[in-house]
Amino acid sequence: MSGTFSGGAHRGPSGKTEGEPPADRSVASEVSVTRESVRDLEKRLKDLLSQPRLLGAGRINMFNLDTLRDRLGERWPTMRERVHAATEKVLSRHLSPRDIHFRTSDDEYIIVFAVVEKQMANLLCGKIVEDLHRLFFGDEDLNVLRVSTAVGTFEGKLIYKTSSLGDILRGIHDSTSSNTDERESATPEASAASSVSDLRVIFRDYHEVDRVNSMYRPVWDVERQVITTYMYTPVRRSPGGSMTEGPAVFELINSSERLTKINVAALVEAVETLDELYRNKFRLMISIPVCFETLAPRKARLEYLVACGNIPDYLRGFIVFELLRFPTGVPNGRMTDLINELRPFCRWTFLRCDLTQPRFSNLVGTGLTGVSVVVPDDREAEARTMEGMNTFVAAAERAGLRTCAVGVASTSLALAARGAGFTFIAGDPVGRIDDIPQHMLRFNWLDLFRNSQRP
Amino acid sequence: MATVLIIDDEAMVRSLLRQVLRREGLDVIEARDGVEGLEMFRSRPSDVVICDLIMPRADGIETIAGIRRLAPTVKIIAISGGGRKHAVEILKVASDMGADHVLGKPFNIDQLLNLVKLCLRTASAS
Repeated sequence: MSGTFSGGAHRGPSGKTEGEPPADRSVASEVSVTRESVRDLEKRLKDLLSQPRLLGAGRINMFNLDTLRDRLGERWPTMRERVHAATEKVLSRHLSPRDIHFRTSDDEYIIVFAVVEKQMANLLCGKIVEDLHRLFFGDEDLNVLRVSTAVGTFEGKLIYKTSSLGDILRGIHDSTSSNTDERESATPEASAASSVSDLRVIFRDYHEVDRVNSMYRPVWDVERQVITTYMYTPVRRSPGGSMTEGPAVFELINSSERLTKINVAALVEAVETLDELYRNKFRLMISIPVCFETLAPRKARLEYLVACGNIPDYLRGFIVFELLRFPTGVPNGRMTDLINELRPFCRWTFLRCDLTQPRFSNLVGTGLTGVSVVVPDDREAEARTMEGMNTFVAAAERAGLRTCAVGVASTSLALAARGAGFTFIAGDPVGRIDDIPQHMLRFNWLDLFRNSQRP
Repeated sequence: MATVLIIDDEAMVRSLLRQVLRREGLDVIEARDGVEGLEMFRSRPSDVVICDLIMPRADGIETIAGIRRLAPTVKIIAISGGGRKHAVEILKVASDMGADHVLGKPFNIDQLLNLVKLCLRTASAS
């Protein structure tokens, strides 16, 4: 992990920090690269076509960016390179090292999956296109997104069967649903909604075991009634199929060096995502986790700060660092030094604490913005949790710190958190973790109660 | 005799309200949280419900919505959750979610009695 950002928004060749996102690369270099790519592609495709078992298994899939291009309209020529750069990033996030992908034309890609079955191959292609739509427009209509599967060859050319992603999902839904009456009575709106969630659930299951993946959780600014921030959340699937998310993922990692690498990777990925969204006119803040093991030793800290130095100036006001795994009672001077090193690269810094931590006097005057806390997910113990929240906020306020409650699993805890005085709340009633963060969003109590009523 | 259901996780509040309402000749039943409150309302529907908002297991808003589903016309008074702050903001949500009246803590007991009487009058009139 180099700790640099591959988007166009990093420092230019002169080393000068650019104030705004730079222009796209020259057409000439693009043409020569494309010719080379096409020659390479032809050779590799011929090799592939000699393997009919791939066709039979439905592992050769094609998707194109025509709907995205159409929506961009006149902006397509200037946006094209950014779209392709974003496509490469999304592909690298979703494909395994054994999968192969080609860009075959101005708006078309072919993917050859190494192992997945036809249905999952279709879904993965669809997910890639869906992610791109969300990055550029913030929404998606699964009925207009199409993916194609190669079903045979004719005169050396691949023949495809094309389906909309909505149809593919409905097919899966219908084949797995045992309740015919329920299916028949579903409205088109309900069916579409379930398809979107199906896609995310199915796709989440595909993630490689033991790989740390990234997702984002919305954070609600209760005072302003706006979802302002999206919290980068590491997610890891265990061999047993269960999912671990958040700081618990870091607890599974024994090596400090690996932890630092994961923190740097998270920083790079979060900033690249934020940059892409920023360039597409989205405005939001992203909270990025960084562990004590990364900031305490000088060598690891320098590696992290070098990566921070590559954050474009125009994004720094949208970044929050959340400090994790800090032992209680880090001396005030030490804390101040660490915060001072991070502050040039961000808007705020929060420290993750324990709900039972009774006081924060060592944090006064360190420059820390606030403290965050995970609220236990246990409805039977909510009365005790509520008392804990009151004590926590009172102590934080005495130290002049803002407060964020994370993992708020019920509306009763959300109300109690607000009653206690928390300024930020994150948890399923506010919004579930998602692959791509969204705009800042107006969100009020009625939205919270509506969200919590959804299955 | 009219029945009032008090749903509040604070024993002291329940005790105070019980005494005052019984003195007015009302039958009082109590629940310690929203889950218990809903069960109690299901087994013995009351004329007026006084519901706290910040409670464990099921908050007042969920509880009010649940009671409304069982008895759309029952009169409900939401009282502010007892949190350290922001009672008014949360009471407004209760009002939006179906409470007939809202009252912030600490409240004057006469205010509450007047609201209960108003609820009973409008209930009998309708």
